[in-house]
Amino acid sequence: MCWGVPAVVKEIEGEFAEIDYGDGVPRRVIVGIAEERLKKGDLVIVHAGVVITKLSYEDASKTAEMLRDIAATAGEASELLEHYKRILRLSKDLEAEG
Amino acid sequence: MVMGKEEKSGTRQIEGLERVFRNNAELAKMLVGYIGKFYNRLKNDFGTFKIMDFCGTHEWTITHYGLRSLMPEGLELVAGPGCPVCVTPSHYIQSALKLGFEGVVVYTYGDVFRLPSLKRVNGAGSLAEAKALGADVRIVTGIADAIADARSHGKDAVFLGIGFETVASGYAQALIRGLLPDNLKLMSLVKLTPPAMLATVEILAKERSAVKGIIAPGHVSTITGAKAWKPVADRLGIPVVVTGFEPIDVLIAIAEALKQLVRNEAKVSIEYTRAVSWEGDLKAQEMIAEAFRVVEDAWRGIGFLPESGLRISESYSSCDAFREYGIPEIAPEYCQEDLPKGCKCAEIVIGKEKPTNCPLFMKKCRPSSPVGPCMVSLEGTCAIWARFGADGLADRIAEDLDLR
Repeated sequence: MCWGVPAVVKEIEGEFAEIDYGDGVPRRVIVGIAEERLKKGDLVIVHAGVVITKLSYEDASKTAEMLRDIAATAGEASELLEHYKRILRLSKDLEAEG
Repeated sequence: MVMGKEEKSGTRQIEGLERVFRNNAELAKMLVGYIGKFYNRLKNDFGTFKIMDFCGTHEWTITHYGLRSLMPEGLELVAGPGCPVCVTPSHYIQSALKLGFEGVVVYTYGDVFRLPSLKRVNGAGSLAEAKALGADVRIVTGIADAIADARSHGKDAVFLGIGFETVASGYAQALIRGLLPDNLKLMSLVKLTPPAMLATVEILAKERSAVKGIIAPGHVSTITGAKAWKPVADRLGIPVVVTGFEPIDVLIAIAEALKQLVRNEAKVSIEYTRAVSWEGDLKAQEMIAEAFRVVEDAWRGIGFLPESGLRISESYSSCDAFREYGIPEIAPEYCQEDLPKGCKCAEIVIGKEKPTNCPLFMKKCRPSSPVGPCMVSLEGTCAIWARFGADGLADRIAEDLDLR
């Protein structure tokens, strides 16, 4: 059960976070790491409703870059790329909002 | 002709393999070349051997992208116990069924919902059937949903906490901060992965083809840190590589493990540096240590393993479903009869057998009507093989792409 999905933090409410997987649907999850490490706009990996780690924007961009490299045609790999693109964009937007 | 589901997945597998490797062919070819070269230097000493993954997502990557077809003959990629739903004894599912019929609201993850129990309780052989028969079973994606919902209705409720170290930090947070309402109890069935890794490799050491390298679970390692695997590398003398989930990540991990074997090394190395550090998340580790106690736990198909499970610690026992409902732990002899007749999940879960060697695989046991636990969860080895197949088509495409 190590399925982890990258998401963006929209709000922090104590030990809970409202996150967005890039589909625009807000979901409430529990923070399994030190919550002071998290802020609005952060990229995280969510596993079974638990935030298990923070991703740096640079690292997530690198992954997206790698996916772009390998996803020449439409299909699952590029769906994943779209997912990354959406959360990267959302992360930037939320950070700009402050 | 209308294509069956399996044929479609075969086509998808080829497309995936082509897409990934045709566009990244140079790197893939280089890695496959290294793997072949290293294996040739090792095969006189080791003969046939295994590299084992411990994570459903790695197994998914290996199967989905047909990575087995790129390995030299004699180097087997096998899946270890990387699916918590697969190793949760039926006894606890039966206990949950019983609670459900006694009027307790049962919160569960979606895959556990379909997990068949060995014995029926009030006519129900799974939580899904219990729901159909009137028990109040609710699917949630995490404990946060269960907390919010249980607060809203106030009825007695239990959350089935099945998972590895990754979910433990979230549960610990909920316990320590007192987030569970009085009516909601946690049934902690959390399992710890390093003891299972040690046990599995030791069991297979007696086999013709032993495990000589490990691809360690990436997300578990974000919490535990790569340091958690050091005892495995030290005690078993084999390389452990923490890696990411892209096909290239997995190929790099295999090449790294073989490189170490050639050099006669047995280290823990991290390829997945974008998420994993050596120390891991120290705060999460502290929370887990405070909220839980480590127990000898039963693994379905494997048996009891020392220090391999988490139950709620004395300080938070008011939240413990085991205490609240007097749920008995299981007796050691129970493990002998924990799987349906003919089911080979016990061997499959430790990588001793392939799903295709099970007489039930894709006959009586299919994703739409699972018999054994490995066919239920998205991360179960049988479910992954059933969806993405290992039907030899990947071999052909690999040859066509000149990757072998």
